[in-house]
Amino acid sequence: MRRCLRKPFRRVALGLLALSIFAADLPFSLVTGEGTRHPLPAAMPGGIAVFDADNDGLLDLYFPNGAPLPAGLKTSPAHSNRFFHNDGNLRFTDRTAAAGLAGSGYDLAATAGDYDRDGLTDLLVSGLRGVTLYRNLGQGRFADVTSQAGLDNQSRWSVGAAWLDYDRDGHLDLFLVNYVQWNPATERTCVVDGRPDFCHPRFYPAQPNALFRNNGQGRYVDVSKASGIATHPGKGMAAAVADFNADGYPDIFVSNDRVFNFLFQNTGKGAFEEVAFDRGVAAPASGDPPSAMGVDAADYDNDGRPDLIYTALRDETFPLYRNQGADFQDAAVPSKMGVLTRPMNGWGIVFADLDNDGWKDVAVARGDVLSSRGARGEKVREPLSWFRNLGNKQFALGGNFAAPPAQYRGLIAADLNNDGCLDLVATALSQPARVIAGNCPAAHNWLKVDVPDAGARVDVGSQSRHLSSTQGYASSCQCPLHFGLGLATAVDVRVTWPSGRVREWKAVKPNQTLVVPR
Amino acid sequence: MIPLLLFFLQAADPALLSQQGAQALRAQRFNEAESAYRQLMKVDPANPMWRMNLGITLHAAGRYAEAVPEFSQFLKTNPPPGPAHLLLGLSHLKLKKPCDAIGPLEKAVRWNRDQAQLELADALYGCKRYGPAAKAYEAALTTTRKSPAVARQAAHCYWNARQYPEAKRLFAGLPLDDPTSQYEFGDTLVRLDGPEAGLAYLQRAAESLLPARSELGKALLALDRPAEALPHLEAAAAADPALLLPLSKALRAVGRTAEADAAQAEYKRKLTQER
Repeated sequence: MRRCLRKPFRRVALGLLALSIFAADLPFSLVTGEGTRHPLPAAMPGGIAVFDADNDGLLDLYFPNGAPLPAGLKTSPAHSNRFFHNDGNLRFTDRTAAAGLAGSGYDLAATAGDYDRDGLTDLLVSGLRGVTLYRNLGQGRFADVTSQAGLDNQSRWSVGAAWLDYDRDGHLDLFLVNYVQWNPATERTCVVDGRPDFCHPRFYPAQPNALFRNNGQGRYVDVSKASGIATHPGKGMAAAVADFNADGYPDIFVSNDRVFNFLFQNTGKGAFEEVAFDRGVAAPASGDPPSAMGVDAADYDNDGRPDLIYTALRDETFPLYRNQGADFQDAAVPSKMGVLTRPMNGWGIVFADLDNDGWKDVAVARGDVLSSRGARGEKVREPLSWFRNLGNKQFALGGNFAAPPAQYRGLIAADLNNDGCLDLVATALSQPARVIAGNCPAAHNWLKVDVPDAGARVDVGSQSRHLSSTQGYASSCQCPLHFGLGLATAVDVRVTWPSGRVREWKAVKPNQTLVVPR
Repeated sequence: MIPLLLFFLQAADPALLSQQGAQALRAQRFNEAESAYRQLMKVDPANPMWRMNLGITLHAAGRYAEAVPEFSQFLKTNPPPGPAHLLLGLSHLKLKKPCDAIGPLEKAVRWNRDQAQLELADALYGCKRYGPAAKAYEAALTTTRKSPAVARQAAHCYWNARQYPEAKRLFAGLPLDDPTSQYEFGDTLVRLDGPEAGLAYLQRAAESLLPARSELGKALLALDRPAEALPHLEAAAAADPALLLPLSKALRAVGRTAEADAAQAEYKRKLTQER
């Protein structure tokens, strides 16, 4: 066990808009395994899972990691996935070995959720050759139960997952986001601006996503075909789960890389209907499907309906879709996000009220997809940025966080030190993962609602959020739902469970965590 | 017999041959000059300047493919940046090999920026390295060869390189009296400042440029003006299947639902095939 007393590497003077007071490195860097060639997986690591592994009230961190390519097998401790226990006050201890979470393959994403309903949060790790399910045994230990659980992704390359109760039977089912078919034997060399670099996704065949149903006894059944999920091959990068059409059943949005996105609308009868075109989210209004990356779903305009945003590459802009009920409005132009994000390459993205003013802002992990060894060199590095929600369906550039430019990938906003202000965790290729402490205006109040069940919807005043196990790119936050309240001194709270059960609280005082038992 | 012998005796004198070659070159008697320098290369092979002059002669005669190896051979002697670099670069440009011209022209710029900067920019542009080309054209604006056309070319390159703030800066100082500049400036403004900002320029360019109609249609649709967008999207969609999606949205917005469905189905089919 190695204790990591992190030292702030940079303190920044607080301007009017500066939110972060310091950033600090964690002793973990994403291994790409790029070598002298440019195998596609090397562009893709990796995400973050934030969850309270030991129910001590502090959110712990888990980072999946890459490995040398093309073998994709971990051969040194540097390739290990890493688990950091939160000791409080933004101090973390590496407990990977004791937890049994080092992994063995080329891993990219981690998704936290209590699949066996034992009160301990489990972990699903997605990778180049399949997935690994770690059951939380308590006492800080995990066991690989992939085979016992019957999870078989048929060696497909998965870059994300979502726990959801699609059939509302009270047990968490599993949706796997699968990217392209990749075969190292047929990997080609591509040239970008005269230098070898990663290839465009069009050179790799699409593959379908997968859906596994929890039988309630610790085993999963592959229902990809029966549910209709398998009939839609794509190039999935991330998923967002929410009840987009307010029928009580969770739907799934999948961002696809340079092909049409999917919106799998839950029929309520054990199947999904792909309705991305009908709902207006298959592609941006320009008609050109972008390099869609990480995605998040949340109600940014406080109208009670979950909206969508996803990242893309430079000059593609980050599409923002406003849920209008019957369909989605491409809000890139009216929200200003189109103009603001045009020069950016994005991966992880989260809706998060970073200043506790009652409006969800947007934070984004930026970095080029191209190799730092290619023609663009150091230019592939970009800052971590955020956009302030102005409360009128528009955003303004909030600025960059106090962290050096890098090829950032995963990003999660979570209250790591329980001060009511969201902090950020970000991963970067071949650079340390970074924790950035939030610094919210003291006058602004907040409320956290700790509800254990993925899919539960929480309404706080005019705001709403649902507990989603997946967020941004390859990342997951099994965290209390956070609401900034601005100057409000009391709010009404309503929790709606996936089963339809509702519980309400009136005039709840701010600046506390409301724990909602199952 | 005697005069012929005298000619050869004289011609074998390097100084005389050099003088003859130079006179012939000045008088554009390229065959004579070539002959003189080829002889000099035989009688005085240690002097690389004869090869350089032969290259100049061939270049001046428009025999660029033959000039290239002579310049290349001369440059193996590692001379400081000079006219050979410029002429080799120019020969490559004349042979439509702009990527090969970049290296020698970069060196030529160090020798004489006034003479070589614009050519380097042309080479970079021809090689589709738009970002460096834009910077090279901008640098040419500080030479004696600056002109509105060079500024326009720099702006065009920044636009091609998707460096929109730089493109905007340059376009803003130009007269913009041609449809291509109007289109590129309009598109730049749409990307930087939103669809409303670029509308007037796109409208002017759309009278003669199809790509401008495409961008104008998308901008009008984004501004929730589907009826106005429709004719532009209809005109441009044949050349760009991606436009079938905004076209279907515009059709739906004006109540032409069946046509909207057909456009959307066609869009889906075509883009699925493409990717």
